[in-house]
Amino acid sequence: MPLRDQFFPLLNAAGIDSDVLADPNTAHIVADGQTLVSRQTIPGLTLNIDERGDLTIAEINITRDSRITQPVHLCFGLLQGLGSQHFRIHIHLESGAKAQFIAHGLFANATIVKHSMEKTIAIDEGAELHFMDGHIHGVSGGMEVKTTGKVSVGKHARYSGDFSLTAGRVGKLDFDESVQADDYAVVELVSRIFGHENDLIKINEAVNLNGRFSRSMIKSRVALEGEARADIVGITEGRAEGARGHMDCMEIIKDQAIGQSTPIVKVSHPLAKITHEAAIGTVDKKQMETLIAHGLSPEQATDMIVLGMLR
Amino acid sequence: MPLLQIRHADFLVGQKKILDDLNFALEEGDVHALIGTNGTGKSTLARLIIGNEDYSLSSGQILFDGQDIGQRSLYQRAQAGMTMVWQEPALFEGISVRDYLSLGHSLANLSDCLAQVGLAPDDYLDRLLDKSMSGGERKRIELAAMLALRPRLCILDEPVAGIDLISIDNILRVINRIKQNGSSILLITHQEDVAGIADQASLLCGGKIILTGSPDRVVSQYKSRHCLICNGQECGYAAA
Repeated sequence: MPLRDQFFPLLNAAGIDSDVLADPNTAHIVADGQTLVSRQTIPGLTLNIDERGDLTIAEINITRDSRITQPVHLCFGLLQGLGSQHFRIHIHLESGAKAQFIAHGLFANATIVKHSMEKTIAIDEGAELHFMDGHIHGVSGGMEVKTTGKVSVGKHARYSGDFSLTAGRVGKLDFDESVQADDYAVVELVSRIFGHENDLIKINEAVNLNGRFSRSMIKSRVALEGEARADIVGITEGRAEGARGHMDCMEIIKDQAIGQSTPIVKVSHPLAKITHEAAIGTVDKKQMETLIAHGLSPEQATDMIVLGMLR
Repeated sequence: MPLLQIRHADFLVGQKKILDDLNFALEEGDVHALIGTNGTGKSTLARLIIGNEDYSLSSGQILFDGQDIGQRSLYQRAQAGMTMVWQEPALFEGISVRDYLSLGHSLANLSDCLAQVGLAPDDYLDRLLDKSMSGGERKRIELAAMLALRPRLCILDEPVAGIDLISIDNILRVINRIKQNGSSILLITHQEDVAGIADQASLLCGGKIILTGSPDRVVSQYKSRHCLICNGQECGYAAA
């Protein structure tokens, strides 16, 4: 079976129709470890890939005012149980361009695997990027994921980043992203993680609202059970007139798990305003009572609340 | 035999008696209004009946269908056919109205349930029960869930709280529809027009049921602000 086709079951398990990789109107990269399995470009999008042994560098450029109607799929994974993958990806949206990227971290077979992703994203004036990054892990807990992102969002541009790791064991996760927002830019960062057993989760998200009337939202949703630990740091700095930022962290803790949330608010302009809210604790009692009174068992109610929060 | 019966119920918080030798009965198929001023123990009684884990009788019995359910959990009581609409229903992230109305393996027509509470199914079925929903919308969803769930006993704690005035008649019609579906209803309220739709009413004062009878009679007594037991000297009702 061609290597690309071996990804199909992993993609389907992730809820993605594997036919997208055969669609000539859908740009994609598929990589098994450091092996480039498949790539496709489309009009308005250029793709250069530099394979350097233990590091693969992908440069993606979307030309001015291009509207990429189909999501760009980045399938990074490992078909084998052991190994590593190190990617560096540069994405540039020229002014007025619009695109959605869906990155799939396909590691359902992984037992001991290191996955490293360094991402730099430049979104020029008036451009829009929605970047979804969803990981599917196996049950071994041997995954180690390190993701860094440096994002610049130009004037009147929009960026939304959505990272989720809710299927399988997390293993060790170190997620670090910082965003610079120019005038009237809009930034939304969402992370959803479900930690089990002795998973270790570290999330650090920072937004610098450098531009006038720039806006941001950092939203973290984490569920922990067993002896999992999570340390969530959200940083928002308002540096200009009219800058508005909000951080919203919610962690549901079960068993012996430990969650920590640290919101850091900095304001260096008198007309900027940053707010935050955080809730860490067991499953909300009122929600539980309501669902049980509607016929669910306590276990079913807990699952529904946790999965709803991570949805 | 009443569907729900409470016998000689006492409930203390510290040294304070919230319920004091309370006796109450709700007949199967009835809407029974429980009326009283703020702080008389109406919601406390509801929590004791439904089996909230923080509430259990200091003494006395709660019988459902003739069975003493005092030691049963909320889950066991729900499985027996009891449910409750809280005064301020919970909000949920990531749970849609459709998911919620489908709980309890409901086979009901969900669109019809929503339409009956005055919510357009096309606008609401896929909405989330989160902070984007107003208190009034959330309350209507809860009543729609009662239509879908068809419990044997439905406790409605202040069902029109948060509902705009022009929609109250619609909510009262929904309560009647829940009854027509076969549910018995304990209707907790301090609004006389709401109590007026009940088959029976009881007035709660100073932790006791001081009167049970027709809604007209009980509401009339309620409006007199006059406690039949202590003349307001002990419970403070007359002075409230």
